[in-house]
Amino acid sequence: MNSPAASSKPRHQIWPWIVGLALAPVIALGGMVWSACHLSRDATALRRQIMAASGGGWHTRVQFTADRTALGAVRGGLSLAKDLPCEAREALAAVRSASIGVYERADTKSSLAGGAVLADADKIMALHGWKRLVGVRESGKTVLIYLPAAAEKATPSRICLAVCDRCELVIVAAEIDADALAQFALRKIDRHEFAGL
Amino acid sequence: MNSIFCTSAFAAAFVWASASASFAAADTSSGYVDFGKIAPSAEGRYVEVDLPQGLIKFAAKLASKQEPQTAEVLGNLKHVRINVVELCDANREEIVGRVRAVRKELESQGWSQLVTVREQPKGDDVQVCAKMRGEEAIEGLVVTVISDQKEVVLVNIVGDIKPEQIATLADRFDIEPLKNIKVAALK
Repeated sequence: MNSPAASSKPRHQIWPWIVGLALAPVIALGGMVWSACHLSRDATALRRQIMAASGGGWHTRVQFTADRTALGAVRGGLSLAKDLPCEAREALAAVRSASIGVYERADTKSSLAGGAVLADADKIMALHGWKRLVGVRESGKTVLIYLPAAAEKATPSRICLAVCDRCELVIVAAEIDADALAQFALRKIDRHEFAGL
Repeated sequence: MNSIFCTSAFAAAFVWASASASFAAADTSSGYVDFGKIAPSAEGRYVEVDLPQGLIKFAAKLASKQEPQTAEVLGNLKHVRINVVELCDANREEIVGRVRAVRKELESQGWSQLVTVREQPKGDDVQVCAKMRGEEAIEGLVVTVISDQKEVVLVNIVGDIKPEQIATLADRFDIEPLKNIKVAALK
């Protein structure tokens, strides 16, 4: 016979834990899928600003983010492929993460709002800690390239860029291993020189 | 679609692999000149390049094997800024006024005028100024061009530049007025 003190002991509910543990991978997977289908925070800010300055009407054609985990998995998978050119492996090794969006619109008569797009994009990117390195507008095309403002004297490791014209917009934000990229470029030069002999 | 991807690839390659120079937001080098914010017109050509020292070093590293001479020049640079603005009725007065103010400021700060070309009444108006350190080194170069009242070009290169390296710089950055400077004129 149980004493009254023993029966009033709080019961540990195990079901919420089981359900939680079962749902956790699903939620995590959902988060990863959502994140993979969207641009990174900085790239999103740049995209929104440019779209707003250009009057809207844009439709997503391609949009994805490959973070370190995803790229690591791709690298791991490709390591099993024997026929893959080593240049492709080296190039992939130089990219840590990438966020890419391609957008288009049917209204080709719309144009970017003059100089306002540069000023507005600079303002929003400055809030996110970026500084414009290159700004080019010629023949209806605009190219904006940003690097982290805090890394002026360091080798750049992140880049954010936008290329747009009246009907197409491409946004790229990437984290790059500059040393690996330099090694890749130098090896490419070596191979090129060797091939030329 | 292909063309926009090509442009993207070109832009990325330009940043990561091409030439030189530095952001220098708060560059306190005496060779640095603040041109101020030059806003583009509503339409018309506009180019602004403002490269950070980290990127110059990176470019120097890439160039070191194939072009050691270029790598040496790039390795000594701290900042390069290039502005090209097409002029229109809306911005001509402001931007030409800005260029003239920059020239006046350089003159008052003791910069040496290396080249001055004025084709009157229309034509190119070119000035190349250098901030010398002693007789053997240049701390800063400024090129200002008002081209037939249709386009303005402003270039500021900051670093430790030897007079004989100017030709290399002119070639790498394709700065026409610098290509004809005789080294002897600087010494």
